[in-house]
Amino acid sequence: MLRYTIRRLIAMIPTLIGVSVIVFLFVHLIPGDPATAMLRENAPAELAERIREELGLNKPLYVQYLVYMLGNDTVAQTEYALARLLGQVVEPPVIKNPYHGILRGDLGRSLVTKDTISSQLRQRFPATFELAMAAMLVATIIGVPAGIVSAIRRNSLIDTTSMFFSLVGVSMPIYWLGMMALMLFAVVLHWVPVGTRLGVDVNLRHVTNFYLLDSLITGNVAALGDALRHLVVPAVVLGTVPMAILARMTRSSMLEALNQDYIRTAHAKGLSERAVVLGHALKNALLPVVTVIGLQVGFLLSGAILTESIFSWPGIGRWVYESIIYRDYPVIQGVTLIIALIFVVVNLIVDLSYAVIDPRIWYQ
Amino acid sequence: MVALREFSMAVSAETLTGFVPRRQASLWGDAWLRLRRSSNARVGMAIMLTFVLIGIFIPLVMPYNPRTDSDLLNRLKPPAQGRLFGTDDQGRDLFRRVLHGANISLRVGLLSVTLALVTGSIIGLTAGFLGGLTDNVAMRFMDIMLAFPATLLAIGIVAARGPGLNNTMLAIGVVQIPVYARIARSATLSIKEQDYMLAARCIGVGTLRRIFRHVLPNSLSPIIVQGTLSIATAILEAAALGFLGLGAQPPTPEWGAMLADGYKYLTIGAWWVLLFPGVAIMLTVLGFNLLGDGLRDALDPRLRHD
Repeated sequence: MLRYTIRRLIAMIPTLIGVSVIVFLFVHLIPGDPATAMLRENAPAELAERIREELGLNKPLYVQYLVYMLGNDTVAQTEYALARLLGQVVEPPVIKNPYHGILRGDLGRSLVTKDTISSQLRQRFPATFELAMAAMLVATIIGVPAGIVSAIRRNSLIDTTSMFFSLVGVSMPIYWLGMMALMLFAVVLHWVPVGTRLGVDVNLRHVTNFYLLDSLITGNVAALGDALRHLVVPAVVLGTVPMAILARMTRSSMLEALNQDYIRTAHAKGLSERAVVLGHALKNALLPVVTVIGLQVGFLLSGAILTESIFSWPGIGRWVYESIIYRDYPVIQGVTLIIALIFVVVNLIVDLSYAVIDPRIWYQ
Repeated sequence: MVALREFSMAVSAETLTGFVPRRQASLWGDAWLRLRRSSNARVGMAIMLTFVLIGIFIPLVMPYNPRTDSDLLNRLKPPAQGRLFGTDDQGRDLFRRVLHGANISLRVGLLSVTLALVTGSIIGLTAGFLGGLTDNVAMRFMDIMLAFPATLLAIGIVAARGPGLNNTMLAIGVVQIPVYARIARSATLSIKEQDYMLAARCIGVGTLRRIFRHVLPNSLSPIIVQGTLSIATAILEAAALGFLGLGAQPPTPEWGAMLADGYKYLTIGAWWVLLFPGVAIMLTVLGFNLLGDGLRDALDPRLRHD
């Protein structure tokens, strides 16, 4: 298991390098030149030149990539050392805007707010994480039982209804569902507040930026209730698609398990229906379900872009949306990189968790 | 002697009757029969046909110029007689715009899926057939693309290339390429080991001909199933990009862009501006999903003669 884990971690390196190259080249996909794209149409040419200079866009592509990965300070120091080694007389480099490279955790700065992307990320990531976890929770506690019941009562009214709704669920644009839910629950019924994570009149000391956790730590019951009221509708909306997929997946996996010989044996030896379904079938049907739960992380992260923009949820999804509007390319670049990284790591964890759940799988 | 002859005739007659083959249905004929028997697939087919017919014929019989269409005296009117779906903030008839949206979604669905299907299948077939370094390099590259959530990658491509319908189609097509490459490759790997492939090689059939005349037709069914499901995804993602302001630009009657327009009027309770374009997206996507599911069941050889 340990050897397999290490091998998989090593195999991840080329993928991550590839991801970084794609994210790096992203800026070079911009038609014309990122510097001109960032400016308004009638901006003076010197300004574009200065941006180009500042972003290092006038250097060769491979140098730009090295700077992106290692930082301009490292690259400049290395260039200086190399020149000295070759016996050239050069001035030591002066770095005006130090950038440390993504390998050292520096994602650069936002063009709009001038904040470092990492510090913004620390604030916004908890919001998205909280929303995604709540969505996954909703999806699992409704989707999995719905799938189990559908499989046991195959072709019954419950089965047809829940399968119909799960098909509708995957066919719906979630931002549309979000808007409809917002209109119904916030505008018409006034049951829940509209947008953001917390009411303006609620005081909460931010410890971790996970509001539910913060309100628990500080024992702030009022804030906990308010945060939950803000969370519930966005979480259900974001959870709809995973819920539908989970219900379908659990159903087909359960049906397959229920058709196995050992289920007939279990029935034959007189076990109760409950023991057969929960103890024998469900245990074996869970493996593909766990995979699906893991694979939904990618969906949750990109679905967050749409859900968060509807509900003004201050997470990374809304941040991507805002930076698209303001053409804040470093932010789009940085967040895309982080999301891809999370996605790759989660997929690895899902793979490794097979061995824990299913003793038949033994990684060499 | 006579007895023996009679016996042998009896045997052959019985052998014959015993072995008279039932009318042998081809894979496709068989699949078609089972597709027609599934009620889900029938509903899916009906929705798909309606959508395709609207998409093709509405622009012909009901020409529409979104640039000149506005009636400011009738802004945001709820549905009533004569305006089935109500009007939007420019006083435009939503019924007409939703119908015209079908053409745009149809184009996005077909073009982006064609791009992904053709490119992906060629990559997958070649990688699977040639194996070795080609396979490794191509599939590692596909893995890297799959390291991004699809919608995010599409958003990234369009954000960089600039908003618009063409870039939307390009982005949605590109992000789907790895899916087809993987399907085509795994089908190719299993077909490659078949005896008829060895036979073809023995009689001197060239590589390209073996790929396109033998491997491709035999790997088509999973690709077709995926193609149908991908049209659903493509329509959904194009609408999402349109909603984010990255896809088709106003005043184009694209469903996602129409939803983005209507979003502004959510708080004043103008539900019709949001409801109808959303339902249009949902129904169309549902149709392709139902059909794709039905096709998968119909083409699955394990389910044959059930």
